[in-house]
Amino acid sequence: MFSWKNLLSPAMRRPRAEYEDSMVELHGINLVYPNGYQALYDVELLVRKGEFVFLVGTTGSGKSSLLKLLYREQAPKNGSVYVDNHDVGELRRSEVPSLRRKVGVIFQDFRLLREKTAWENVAYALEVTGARRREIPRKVAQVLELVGLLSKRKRMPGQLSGGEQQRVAIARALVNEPRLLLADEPTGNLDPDSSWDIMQILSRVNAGGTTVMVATHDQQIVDTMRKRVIVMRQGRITEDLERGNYTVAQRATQVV
Amino acid sequence: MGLAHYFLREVLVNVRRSPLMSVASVTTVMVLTMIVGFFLVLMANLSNLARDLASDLKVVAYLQADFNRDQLGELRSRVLKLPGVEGVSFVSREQAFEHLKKRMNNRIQLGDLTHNPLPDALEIRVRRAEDLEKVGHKVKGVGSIEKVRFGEDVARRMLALNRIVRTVGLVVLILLLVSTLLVVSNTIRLTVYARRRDIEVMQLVGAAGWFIRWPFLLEGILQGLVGAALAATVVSESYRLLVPQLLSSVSFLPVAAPESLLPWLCPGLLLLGALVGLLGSWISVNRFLKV
Ligand SMILES: Nc1ncnc2c1ncn2[C@@H]1O[C@H](COP(=O)(O)OP(=O)(O)OP(=O)(O)O)[C@@H](O)[C@H]1O
Ligand SMILES: [Mg+2]
Repeated sequence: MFSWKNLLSPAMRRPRAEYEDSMVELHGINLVYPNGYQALYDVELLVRKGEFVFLVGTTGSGKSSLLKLLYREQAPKNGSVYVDNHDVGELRRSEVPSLRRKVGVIFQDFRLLREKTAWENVAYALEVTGARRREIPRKVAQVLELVGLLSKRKRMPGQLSGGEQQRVAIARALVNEPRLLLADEPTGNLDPDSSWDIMQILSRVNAGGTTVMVATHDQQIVDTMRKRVIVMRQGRITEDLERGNYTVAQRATQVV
Repeated sequence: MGLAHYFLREVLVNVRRSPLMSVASVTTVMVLTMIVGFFLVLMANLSNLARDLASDLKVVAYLQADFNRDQLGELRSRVLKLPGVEGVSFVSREQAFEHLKKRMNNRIQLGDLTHNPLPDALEIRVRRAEDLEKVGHKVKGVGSIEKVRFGEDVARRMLALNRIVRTVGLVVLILLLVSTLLVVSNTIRLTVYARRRDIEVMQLVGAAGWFIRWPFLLEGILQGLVGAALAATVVSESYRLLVPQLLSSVSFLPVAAPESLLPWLCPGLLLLGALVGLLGSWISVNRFLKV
């Protein structure tokens, strides 16, 4: 059927996010993996700019799956995904790289380039954006300084401890000054001291205005930091608590 | 440009940090282009041999006994007008007799022959060996000609042989090229496979497909060039050594001169190496790139 809307460019035709100050908006999300397994059911979520959010829930509840939607590792079967007011669900393959440069991601297994030094790993994230050559050293030094690893910049990942590798990964995620920082169990492989180091860095980044979402099983960290806690269970969001507390949150879901 | 510089540096760093991988690819390219190179040398010599044999083929037209040599000019120009004819030379019966005497000198006593039994003749060279038969039949109709001889069956057999050699050579060459590509891309795939996690990570931090692909392609081209250069050196040096040896034992062998063969063979092998390296890495990288 004819519609005036079709005359507009695809970007203008896209529906807009509902909230002006939203960083992440999910509406009616169902995620089905290629093998037919449904990992998310009717997920609704609003995260505003500048928030710090914990994502908790038992293993297999869908935390990683939810984060994958935000950096377009997965596309939803239906529903809409907005990141910083961009419709991520509608992105073409060729548009995915530019999304990933605006969203920093950190993983439990660090995912550094094994054949590059700490410095080169961070610089790579800048180089892919076509950043000006002269700006790269300054920016790389700045983020490595922020995570306290400037002195070990020439080490290969294999010559760094787990906590140090994770700090390199954070530096890499931050070097493009992302508006959104996603962390999927960033402390999963680390001892408590290193874990606190990492969380402190994330807090500082958040204080600088970056929205941060952290999926974690670390009860102590969640309970101590008293941030917003979103609880997932079997592919659904079951609780959403301001200044939440891991134990309370878990108990709440068990009652439901 | 800055980007090209960046990609080259990427390649050099990669090669320096995992040299064994490069050695594997370079060796594979080298061995395979070397086989192609030696095969091409063989083909060039076979075709040289065929051309040499074919150039000996000519139409000989024996003139009628009462032929008046005053008409030679006119006859010659009539023959020259026939399509496919390259040149005509007149062999008088006296010349032919001298030639015969010389050849037979030690075997038969020709002194007994009191008169020359040979006719005057025209030797007609054709442009292409394939035209021999056609020209032979046409010459018969020119006039003043008693008999035409052009070794029909020899010519036919030689042409058939030539065709077979050429077809078989082409088929073998194509098979060689295809298997070169397959083997090289398989080796390169191993090296890319070792870095597949890195490719995932590169995509994760927002590298565009071409940005990930180019260093791999350049690396493939470079490995291909190095391998092919080594192969070209081996092929041309051994051919340069071999040719004088061959000529000293069988001097009339129509070998392809190294100076005429190598100037196209070596660049050809380099091109082949670069192409195979490029295609091999292209195929491999695309397996691990979700684009
Ligand atoms: N690529 C995939 N293909 C099919 N099923 C998948 C895939 N990835 C995850 N799943 C399934 O989806 C469900 C949710 O997985 P997800 O990784 O999101 O859980 P999670 O909450 O992150 O768990 P954990 O705390 O253990 O990391 C699980 O049952 C998992 O088996
Ligand atoms: Mg997970």
